[in-house]
Amino acid sequence: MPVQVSTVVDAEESQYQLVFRMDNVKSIYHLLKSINFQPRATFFATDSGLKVSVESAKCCQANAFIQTEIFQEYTLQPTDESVSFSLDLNVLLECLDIFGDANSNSSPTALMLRYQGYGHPIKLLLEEEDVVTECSIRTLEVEELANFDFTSDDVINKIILKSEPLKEIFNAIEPSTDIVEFNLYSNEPIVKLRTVGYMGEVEIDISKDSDMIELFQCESDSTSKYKYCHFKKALKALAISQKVSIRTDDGGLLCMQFMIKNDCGHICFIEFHCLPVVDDD
Amino acid sequence: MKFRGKMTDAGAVRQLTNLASTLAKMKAASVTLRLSKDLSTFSMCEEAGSGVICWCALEQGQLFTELTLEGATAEHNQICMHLSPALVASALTSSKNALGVANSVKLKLTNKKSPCLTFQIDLPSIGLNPRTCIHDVPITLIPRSEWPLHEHPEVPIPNISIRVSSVKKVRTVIDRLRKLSSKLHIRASSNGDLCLRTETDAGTFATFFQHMPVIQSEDTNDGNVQTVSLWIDAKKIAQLLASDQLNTEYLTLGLIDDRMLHVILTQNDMHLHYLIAAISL
Repeated sequence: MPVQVSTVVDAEESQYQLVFRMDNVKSIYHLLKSINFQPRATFFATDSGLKVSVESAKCCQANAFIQTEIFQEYTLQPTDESVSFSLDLNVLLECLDIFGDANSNSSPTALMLRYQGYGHPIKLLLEEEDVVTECSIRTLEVEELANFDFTSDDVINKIILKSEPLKEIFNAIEPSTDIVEFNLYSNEPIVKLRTVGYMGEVEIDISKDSDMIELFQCESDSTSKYKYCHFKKALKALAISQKVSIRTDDGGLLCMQFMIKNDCGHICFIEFHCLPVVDDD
Repeated sequence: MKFRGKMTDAGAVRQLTNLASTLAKMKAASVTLRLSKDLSTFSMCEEAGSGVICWCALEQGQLFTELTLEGATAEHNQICMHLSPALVASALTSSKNALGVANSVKLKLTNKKSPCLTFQIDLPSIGLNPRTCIHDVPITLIPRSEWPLHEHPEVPIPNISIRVSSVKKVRTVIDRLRKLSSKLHIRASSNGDLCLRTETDAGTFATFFQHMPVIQSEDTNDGNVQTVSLWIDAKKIAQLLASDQLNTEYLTLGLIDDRMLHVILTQNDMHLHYLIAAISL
């Protein structure tokens, strides 16, 4: 007999390290889908919420932060060790979208996730109207993720832009592009975006005074180059965000932070780090 | 052999169009149409030479207001042919234009360099001149000796048969489960429970429907709930449901223990039958 989401007894929850409930699976689905550039995701559960990390080739990493306010219920048992697990994100996304509601306006799918601890699978209960889906997804060993040490102290440039116009700019980038370059100048009020590929080069200048730039802080001239194949992994997160902050440090490390507001008005962040291309001069 | 039929009911034309579109989407290489005094039966074999797995019989009285049929012989008063459902669908789709539906659609067996089923569509027009659109769909007549190959099999009475009204939901769930695994487990119980389940290395996934109307079940003297289940190729059922262009009102799932699943898609008084063999793990 299937267990109804709404009738799970609280006492049962004490055997689980992590239990959370959401009335509508839509927002978490879209957040996770936007960072699905690798099949493997690592979940970290803390008192302030969930952090989901996806990494590619140790060169770029996305972290989605989902605060406890987003959940209808979020219970984390106090433990000595951190609660974390890895799993196949493609499989999780198929489960979250089992009733096909992520992209439609039909009745919402409710979600409950329970995790008993190391070695145990993730147990999901999804309910839409009176139909229930139970999933048990195998967890994987948590592998060490690259620590992109991005501290505010080393930040040399920071710009905050509206996502919509930036999305249009990036959508126009030729898919065969090799390098994306950001140029910021302390004495010139523009952001110069340059793309280089075998088809040619494109330069786009964004004026500091344009509507799309909300903040422009440039302490010293900088040119940062990134491989487009890594950089474009951030574009899905850009597509669902309202604003983005782009910062680079003195080493050229890129940190993009996307602010995403869901239907209920709650705000989540996705952070994207990308290592620069080093010129062999 | 002679065949002439005139369709004047827009609903009948729509029904036939939807059926042809559905069969076309199933990507059947060839579909058989059998015309008799009472019925127009479309049927499909899985592979050339193997038995019929899909069929739909429409009553001539519902389709045609006028009908003339002279079959192969007086004794065997039927005409049997192979044709492409995609061509039938595109011929019938042209029966709608900006001014509304056709005044009439006439079907005729003709010989234009080779045998054809000719669709003559009288379209409405604003001026005095009526417009006629003629489609010749090439056919291959099937000799009488091969007719038995294209008869649909006697389907055994299912152990359990249940009716599913939430067609869209079942289609979505089966589509997601198909992406997770190539094999689908279907279990139906005489108390109206339906469970769709699959298992892979990544985990187990099961969706539970309750309170489904039970059309047919075996009497058990002890009053216990009777359960029947089988494994089928997930791709086959997913493709059947994805091809559905009938505006299906409900599905009937007949489970024959360990042997096959008999699916019936019903729209009004039209029933499309599909047999899916059970597979062993």
